[in-house]
Amino acid sequence: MKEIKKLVNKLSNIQKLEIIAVIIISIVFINFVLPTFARFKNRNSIVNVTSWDGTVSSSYRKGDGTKSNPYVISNGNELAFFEYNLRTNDYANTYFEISSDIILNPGIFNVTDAGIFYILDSNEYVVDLNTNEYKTKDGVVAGSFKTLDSLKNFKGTLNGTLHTIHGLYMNKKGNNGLFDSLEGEINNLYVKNALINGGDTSGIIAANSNNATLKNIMVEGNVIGNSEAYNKTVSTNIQNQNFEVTNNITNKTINIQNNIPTKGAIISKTTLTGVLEVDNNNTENLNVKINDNVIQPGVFSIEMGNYISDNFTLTMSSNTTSNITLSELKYNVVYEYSVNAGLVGISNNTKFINTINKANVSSLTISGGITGVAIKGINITNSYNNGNIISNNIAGGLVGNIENANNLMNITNSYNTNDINGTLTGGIVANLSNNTGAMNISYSFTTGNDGYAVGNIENTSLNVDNSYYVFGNSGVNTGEYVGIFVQNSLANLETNSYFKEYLKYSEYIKDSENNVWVYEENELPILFFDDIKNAIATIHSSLYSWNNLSYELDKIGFKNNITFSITNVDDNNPYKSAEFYVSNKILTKDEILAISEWNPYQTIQTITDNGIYVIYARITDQYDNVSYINSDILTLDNVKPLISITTDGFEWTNLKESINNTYVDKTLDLVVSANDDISGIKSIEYYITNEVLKENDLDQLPSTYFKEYDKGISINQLGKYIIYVKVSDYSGNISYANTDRIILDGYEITKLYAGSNKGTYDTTNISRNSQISIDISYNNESEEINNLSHNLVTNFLLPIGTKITLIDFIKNKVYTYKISTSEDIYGYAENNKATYPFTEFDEVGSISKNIKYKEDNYYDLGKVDEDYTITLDFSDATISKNYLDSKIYMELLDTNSNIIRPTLYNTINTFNLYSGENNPLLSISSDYKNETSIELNSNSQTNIQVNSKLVYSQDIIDTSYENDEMELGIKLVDENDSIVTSDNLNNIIVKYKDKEYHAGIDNIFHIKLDGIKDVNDSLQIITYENDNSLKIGNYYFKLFNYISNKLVNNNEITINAKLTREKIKYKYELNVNDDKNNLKILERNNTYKMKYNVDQVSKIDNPKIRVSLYRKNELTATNQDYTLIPLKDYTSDNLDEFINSIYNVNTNEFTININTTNMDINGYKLVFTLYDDTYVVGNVEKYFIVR
Amino acid sequence: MKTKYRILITLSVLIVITFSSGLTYSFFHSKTTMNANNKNIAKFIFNTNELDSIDLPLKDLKPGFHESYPFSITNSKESIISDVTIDYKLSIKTFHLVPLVIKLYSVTDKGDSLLLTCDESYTRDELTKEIICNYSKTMEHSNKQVDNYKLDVEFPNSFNGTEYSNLVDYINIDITSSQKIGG
Repeated sequence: MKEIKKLVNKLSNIQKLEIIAVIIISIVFINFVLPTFARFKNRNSIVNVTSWDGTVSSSYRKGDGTKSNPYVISNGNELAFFEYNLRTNDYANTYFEISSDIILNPGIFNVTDAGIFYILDSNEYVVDLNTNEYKTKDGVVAGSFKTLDSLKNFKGTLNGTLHTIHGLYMNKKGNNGLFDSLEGEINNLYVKNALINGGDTSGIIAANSNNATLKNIMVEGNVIGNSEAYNKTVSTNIQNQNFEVTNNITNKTINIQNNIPTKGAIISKTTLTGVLEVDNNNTENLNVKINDNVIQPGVFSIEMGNYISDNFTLTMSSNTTSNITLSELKYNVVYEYSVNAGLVGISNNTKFINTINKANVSSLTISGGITGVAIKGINITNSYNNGNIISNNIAGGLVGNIENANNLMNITNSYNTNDINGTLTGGIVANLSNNTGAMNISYSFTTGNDGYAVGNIENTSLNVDNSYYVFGNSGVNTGEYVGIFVQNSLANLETNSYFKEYLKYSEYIKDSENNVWVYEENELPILFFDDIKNAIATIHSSLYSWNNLSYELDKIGFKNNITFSITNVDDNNPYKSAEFYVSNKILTKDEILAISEWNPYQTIQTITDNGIYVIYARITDQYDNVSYINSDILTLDNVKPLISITTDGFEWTNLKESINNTYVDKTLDLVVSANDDISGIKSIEYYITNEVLKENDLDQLPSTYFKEYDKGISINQLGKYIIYVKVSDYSGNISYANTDRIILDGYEITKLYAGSNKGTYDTTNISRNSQISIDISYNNESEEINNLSHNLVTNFLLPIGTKITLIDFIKNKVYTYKISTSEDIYGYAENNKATYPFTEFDEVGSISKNIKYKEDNYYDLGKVDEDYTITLDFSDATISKNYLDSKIYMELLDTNSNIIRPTLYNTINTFNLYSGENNPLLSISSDYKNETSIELNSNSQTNIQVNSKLVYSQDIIDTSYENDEMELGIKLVDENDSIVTSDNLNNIIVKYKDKEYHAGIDNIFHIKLDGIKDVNDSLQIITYENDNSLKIGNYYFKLFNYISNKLVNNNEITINAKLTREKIKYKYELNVNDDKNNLKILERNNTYKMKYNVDQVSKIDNPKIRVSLYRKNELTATNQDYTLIPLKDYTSDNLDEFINSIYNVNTNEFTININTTNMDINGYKLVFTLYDDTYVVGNVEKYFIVR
Repeated sequence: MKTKYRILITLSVLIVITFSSGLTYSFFHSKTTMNANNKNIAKFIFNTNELDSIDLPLKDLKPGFHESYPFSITNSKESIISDVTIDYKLSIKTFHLVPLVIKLYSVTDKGDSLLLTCDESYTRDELTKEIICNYSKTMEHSNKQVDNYKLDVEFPNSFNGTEYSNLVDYINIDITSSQKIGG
């Protein structure tokens, strides 16, 4: 329904008007014949489409022949166009669809013993088969029939989409039927009121078919075979034959392989024709005979008798060897053979699935309900015959004759219900002959009076399973088979439970391939698309009509009176009487049969009271047969549904044009409820706009504007909204309701923060002495409103002494207000909130005193801009209790004190004000591990992560520290905790955030941090090599934090350092001067007096100078290594040995007499060493040579 | 020039000069300027088999030291010229405890000509442990003849370790001469 609405809404107004006109006209025309589409079955009505005028269309309705976009045939003209194209195109792999019922001839064909009549517009005409005209009984031509040639050689797929071809009239000899030589697939088609007359091979759907499939087909009408027998010739081609002919007489038997079905035919003659060729034209003494008939080279024709031969004998001889060829061989049968059937005359390997024959069939030779003759193979599933099947010879309810079939033959879940008349009859199959393929009959039966399910079986292997016959003495008249036909009763077969259990006809499920049967009690099951019991009356109401009895009813709503009528389906077959009963519910069959208060129907009836109704009609026909029909569930409801739109203290129930503004500060969730007691609520939709709409406007709104209501409507975006709700019931009543204009708008608090400096604190739990601030603004398009009042609002009464500071960033002004009373003059008790008008605030910094805030609408060029920071300062306030979940925000009021601009609820956060003090402590920590000590007097850089913060014992801050600055202090102390003075700190730098710090005059490195914010940063202690005068030992860097004049942290971080001897840069002078008499080249075996002046200048506390003698290891310039040797071995002087050939030099002068007697010719050196006690500070070497 | 004077201060060269007949030679005293053309005394040799020597004890040697010591051999003294042909041999002797590069050049109008490089490729004397490098020449009689030489001593800069500071070594140049039989 919604899709249709969407489609319609896309049309222009003119198109909409056209459609409305068509609908009105259609209502008028089809008031008595439009079949209801509430269910499948109501198809006996003649639909209101235009009859074919006999012309040919120039195109199909649409499509391109593909599966997804088939060619569409919508009327007789296009059907004729189809026939025309089939003359040159077999449409293999092409798809067609019939989109509408097609009326080829509108009247009804009535075949009687007295002749064929044509009933049109309640007039009965005589059909003139010679002229294809219909005439009055006086012979006056009243009209002619529209006929078309058979659709030949179709190899594509045609989907009738369950439409009807009505009034098919074909009157010709030979092949006759809607299709001829059908190889394609036909689905979902009704062909009704067909008259197929005069054919030799005919069927309503097709004269003949090859490898075709027919599915969901129902045919009705009359198939009358040619009444005059005449001969026709059918030929079988025989393979060419080649032989060598010698002087020996040679006989050859040639198989004819004749597949022509001939059972029942009257064979006039058979002939063998062909061409005899002899090589080299060597015909001398050539003797060739066929069946003892001499044939000469060239074309020949041999009579073969009036019977069917399987072979012929070739006799050959020649005096000279020859080669002969028999070509173009044909076995020709001239016979009288008329085959007619309801669906297909002669079918070759064709499938019949879900097919129904209701046509009467008559033929000279063979008649069948579904097919007359099946060759090669056949498959009949879920099919049945209800028509009269008559033949002069063979007549079968489903199939007349199956002959020469070498493929599978299968008949299952099928039955025949009508009488079969012929000389050889069978309700299921009349005759089975010469079939090499296996034949199966299962779950099938016949209730016809002829008695036999199968007439005759010869040369066929038949297997029967679960199949029955009702009348007669046996299932098969003549022939052998496997299995058994069981005699059963009609009562059993009409019992649904018996049927379901034993015959397994699966009950209908929509779109199921196998579940296609509809059961009605005491009736044989029928296919889901069958018309049951040709209804003779129709109930009409409004656009609807029903001509059947059904228990699955749709709901149809009426909002005006229900008017109904009961009419004849066929004026030529009027009912005898009609009665009606109006029920308030669906009745079972028993309840229908039990109705005693039937009302005779005389004229149109009207139901005026609201309620639910099902109209039942009891129809008696001219033969006193009673049938029942009923309508769908009709609901008369002229009451519009009720609507309620509710939210937070509001409810709207009707459509109003006088709209109030409702200001809201947060998401609004609205709930819609609707009620309709009679026909029920069909749909709830809503449309959101800012416009005021009337009912007419809402009616005109395109359906796409309305959204389907589900669980709620949420207004969560800033803006102005009027919500219109539309409720429809099943009777077409529509109600509207709307809300007032909901305005979701307001001030927005962008930040609530402790203190007055944004970003300092994370928490909004504050102690007394603290401040709390909000940044609040409004920037939006707006209309200009004057006489406004700006208010600060709190949800608690501000304690006395609280100072309010208002910074107006638009006016660039600052205002203050101090709470000077503890009395509630701010409306808190009454309104549960305290209101502080801006107009009470004093302007700060104005030259004149006592200037208050002046109201302003802050409107400019269609926009309002307001931007404030509001701070509450409690440092002077008397706070005697805690104020938890406190809020501050703004409201803007109009002249009438209505809040026209609240603060958006979701931007208001709470804070907690605690009455107690909560002084913080300084905290400093580091994860520095002190794994190694910093080497003073070396080049080093040590990174230390420091965490410095103010810590509160609880999560409550005192913002009075807000503007203070936290600093770090670093000092260097020795092992005695004495601070190292700055003159010894010249080679130490502390680096923090790319800035370098040196020790101050207080010997401490001072580093300013970022206000009082928590710090977790890295700093570097950088040392350089230097010759300061620090003593060797352990030192410690002490890190602490403080806030000047307020807080000092007694806790410190200790960083280990040290100064080792190795790192002491000794400043010294060691002087060892040769006496002028000292020689450098000493001769062996001499004693030399060597004298040196030795002294040192240094800051070493306990300097020692010692001397030692070394000898060069090798006499070479390339090795300058020397080895310590005992000096005492080369002197007779007394030496003060310190240790291991190292001797103390105790005076500033060192004299030694070196005796070279025992000295090798080599290089030597005296090494004078300055010691800091035992630590070597430096050397002076004096070289000499002994030669 | 200043550099040379500084070297002089740190490098004291004692040249022991002994005189012998037959050869005169020039030498540089460390206290004089280091001018290669500064010849002081020519040695007049009359007698053969005289051994003269020039001792160059080197002390407080440091890398970068580089000096040339020019000297000459003549067969005349004042107006007296040797009347015999004299063969003479220069023997450069050194301990070579310091990696000095010692080169003997012949100095003529045509320039300096390297005669020998005295290093540890020469065999050390087993007794004295000295490295001895010899150069011989003949000087004709009756004409005044002067052979000019220079001894180039260098302590390369590449030996810049502290172990190469203030070292001591010496170089001795022995001059022996004899009459050439057959004059």
